[in-house]
Amino acid sequence: MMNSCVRYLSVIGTIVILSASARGDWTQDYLQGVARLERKDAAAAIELLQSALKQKPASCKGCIREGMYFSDYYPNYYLGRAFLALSRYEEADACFQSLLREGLIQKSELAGAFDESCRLVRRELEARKPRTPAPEGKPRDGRPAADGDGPPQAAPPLPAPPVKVDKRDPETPPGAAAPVKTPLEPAPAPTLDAGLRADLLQQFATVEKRFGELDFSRGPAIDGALAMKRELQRQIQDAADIRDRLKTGQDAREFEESLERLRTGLEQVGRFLDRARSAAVESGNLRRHFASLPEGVFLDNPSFRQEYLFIRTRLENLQGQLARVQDTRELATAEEAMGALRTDFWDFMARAKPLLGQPAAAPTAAQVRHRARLLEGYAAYFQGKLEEARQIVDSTPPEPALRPFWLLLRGVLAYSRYQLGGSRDAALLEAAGQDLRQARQAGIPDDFVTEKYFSPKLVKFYQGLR
Amino acid sequence: MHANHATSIRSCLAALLLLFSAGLAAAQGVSPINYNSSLFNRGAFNLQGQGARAMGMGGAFIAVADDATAASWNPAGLDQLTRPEISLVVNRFARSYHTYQDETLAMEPPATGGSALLRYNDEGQADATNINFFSTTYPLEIKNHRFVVQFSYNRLLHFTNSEEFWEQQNILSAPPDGPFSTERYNLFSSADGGIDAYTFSLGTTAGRGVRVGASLNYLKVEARDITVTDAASVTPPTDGSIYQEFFTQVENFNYDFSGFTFDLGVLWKIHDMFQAGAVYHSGFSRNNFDYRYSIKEFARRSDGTSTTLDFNASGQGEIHWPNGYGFGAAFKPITPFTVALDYSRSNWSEGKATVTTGNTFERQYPLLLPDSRQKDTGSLRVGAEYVFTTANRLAIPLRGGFFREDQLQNFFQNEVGEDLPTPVYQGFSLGSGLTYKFFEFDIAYVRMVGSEDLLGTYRFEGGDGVSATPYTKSFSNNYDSRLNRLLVSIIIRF
Repeated sequence: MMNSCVRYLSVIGTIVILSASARGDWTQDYLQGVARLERKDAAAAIELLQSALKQKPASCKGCIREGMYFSDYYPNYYLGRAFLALSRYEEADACFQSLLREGLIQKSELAGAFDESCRLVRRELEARKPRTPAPEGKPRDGRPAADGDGPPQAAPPLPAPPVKVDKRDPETPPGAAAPVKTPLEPAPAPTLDAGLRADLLQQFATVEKRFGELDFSRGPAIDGALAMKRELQRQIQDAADIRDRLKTGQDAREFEESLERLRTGLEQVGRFLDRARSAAVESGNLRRHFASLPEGVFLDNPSFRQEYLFIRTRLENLQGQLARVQDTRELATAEEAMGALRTDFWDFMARAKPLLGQPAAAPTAAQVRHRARLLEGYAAYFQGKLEEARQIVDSTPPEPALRPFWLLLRGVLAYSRYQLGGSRDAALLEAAGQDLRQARQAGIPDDFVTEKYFSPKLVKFYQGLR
Repeated sequence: MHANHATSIRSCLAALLLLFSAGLAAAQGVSPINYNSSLFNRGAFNLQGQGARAMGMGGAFIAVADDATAASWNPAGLDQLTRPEISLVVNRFARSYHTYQDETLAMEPPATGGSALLRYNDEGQADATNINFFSTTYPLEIKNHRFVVQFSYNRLLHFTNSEEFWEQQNILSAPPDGPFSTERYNLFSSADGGIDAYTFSLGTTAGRGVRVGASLNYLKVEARDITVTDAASVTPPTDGSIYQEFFTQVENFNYDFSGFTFDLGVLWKIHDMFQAGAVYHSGFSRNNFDYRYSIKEFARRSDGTSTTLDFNASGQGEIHWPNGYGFGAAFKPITPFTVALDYSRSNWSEGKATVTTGNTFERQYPLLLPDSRQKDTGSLRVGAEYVFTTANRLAIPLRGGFFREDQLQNFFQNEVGEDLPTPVYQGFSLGSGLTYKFFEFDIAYVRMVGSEDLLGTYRFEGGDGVSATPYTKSFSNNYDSRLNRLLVSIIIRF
């Protein structure tokens, strides 16, 4: 009896000691916090995730184990999303900034979703900032002031270095996309002094890096549309199955009507998908066009830079809108966004022309014409209009000062045609090699022929030339 | 005269054999209840949790219990599951054993100087494939408190059994005529049924890092057709005395009972790297033990006379199923690596079947031997698991374990019929598997071996109530048991 009492007391004592020394379970808090967030209970999720963070602040990959299942620990991500759900953008932003500093989530499966959340937070924070009144009494929604006093009002620097850069081959013409019509007239191009040019190039490089985030060609909008299409197809199959089981004509008619509605929905999705693809390709073209600006046009006007940043913001907004299409299935939104972007873009380019026409040193008329023509050739090439680009090159004699760029364009066009012809025309390859070799010898900077502007194949070919 | 003398010697020797061969009654009196004991003893009696993952770790899982088999080890572990899961465990087992007993009795002058050799050779084996665990687990939330519930079916022990063996009894010599007789019995036994548990379990969080759980088990024990078929082959005695020239016997034994038990479990996460667990299994007493026994026997003697026996017995009474408990610790120095240690104990000395109506008896359960002397059993298990993961979330584990298990009682007794220390069998396990996305597959191989020996020569002074004649008894007894199991688990996560 006594022994039994001692035994049980020992067990109870051990339990009490162990319980007292037991620490909080960050895994449990984290998993439950995530579960609460999935059930839209953001307030409870915040409490649990903060508790987990307090116990284990650092994110880690594969460090949560449930039996044989391993999962990552990103408390700041889910905490940020919980704050986002409650419109507490500053706190969400702080969480996302912490994540960015850790540099782990960018390599995870959550990278895309995280990037999108970041963008949403930044957009909301920007929207909350007081707007500078537009000059000349012509306010434009969301546009920064163009008076030049102060830094551009476009998006503050997005922190993520992240995701992937679109490296679509320029050799591949955008088949599904309607060609972009450029209203840009041949314009006299200015020249710049070297210092300012370098400064601008640096700025454009920064902007380009941001553009790398916008992967419209494989964007979430298309994925969303495809998912929607699959769902509709499933619904159609279900409806057809039910119909087959029906006995009465009345019920059969009802299901026929239901089926018809679903088919209509499917067609709508198909159309949306086409438009989304076009939008993706078109936005890719625009981006390529922008990419050509630093090398094709020498800009020296702060207002122009500001416009450039504004357009960039519009592109970012476009991506947000496309993402919303994925969530809300609003078919009109994508078209609307692209329309607005096109308007802004060409408006910007048209207004850019006079700014560009202020030469620091007067070029000859022939130089101006040649430069503008060459610029058009590059624009056509970057838009995938290879034949048009070739005609421009063939019809424009090389002006000595710009001969390297002329040779380069002719070389890349030859290489593109060689690739599109199935890599069989050795003469084209030989011509491409010759032009590109000469272009390099004539002074094309090495950092111009990079994957930023050209396909990896071409860059590799170029670098391999002796 | 010779005949009378020889008969008295044989009677004397037979009486001694009966007295000192407690493990086996006289060959003709073999009781199927003895064979009921073989269903449980010798490493087969292993009422622990289920699952190839756990068994791959040697069965050290009380403080781990983090998959869909959790409740069978520690219901508190259920709280570690965050998604609905279903699981299925298939078990293939093959048990074999070999008993060899040589016991020689030598009577001393001035009585007879006769001697006898009693020899048993018992080779049994059992193998079967069965689904021994199925569960469905679902986490739910009630008033902001999270619970995880599980329904499961668990075949704790499979009775399927098949044995073939023979027993031989030689009266070697009784002066002056040399060997009297050799009696050989060929036997076959079989059984079916098992111990099944239908369980509802629930796990939840009790506090910071502390999880608790409980299970309610409906336990159903059913032993069907424990059958022994016996046929004798007898060499006539050299002295021409009357002997039993033909003998057959068929015995059949069935019993069943059921009851409710509960399990209570606790799991403490004391540190990120250390977790401890404890579990208590309740017993029960119910008045629904029901047995039926029959024996049909025909014997013909050399003088042309014969005897038949057609005996039926049945009874009802109370069953007492004992309680048990276990402790475990798990150490996780890094996320993919786990080392676990368990100790559990079952109070089998308290297991009892008391039949009070019909043909009554009171014996210890589960062995149901007439001379019940079964002990509490302890089990010590240690295991480890390392999981290799790839970038695309494929997980491949390697597992190993070692365990030691006390047996219910020693097969042999010493020269004066006293218990020998309870044998401890030991074994190892190896396991692996593959987990990808929502699918988990585990496989484990378990091997347990045990051996018991009794060797020696003892002199008895007599005066024991059977014979006043001093005699010498030599033992050369050995028992070997091998149990091989192959378990396959499939767990699907939703």
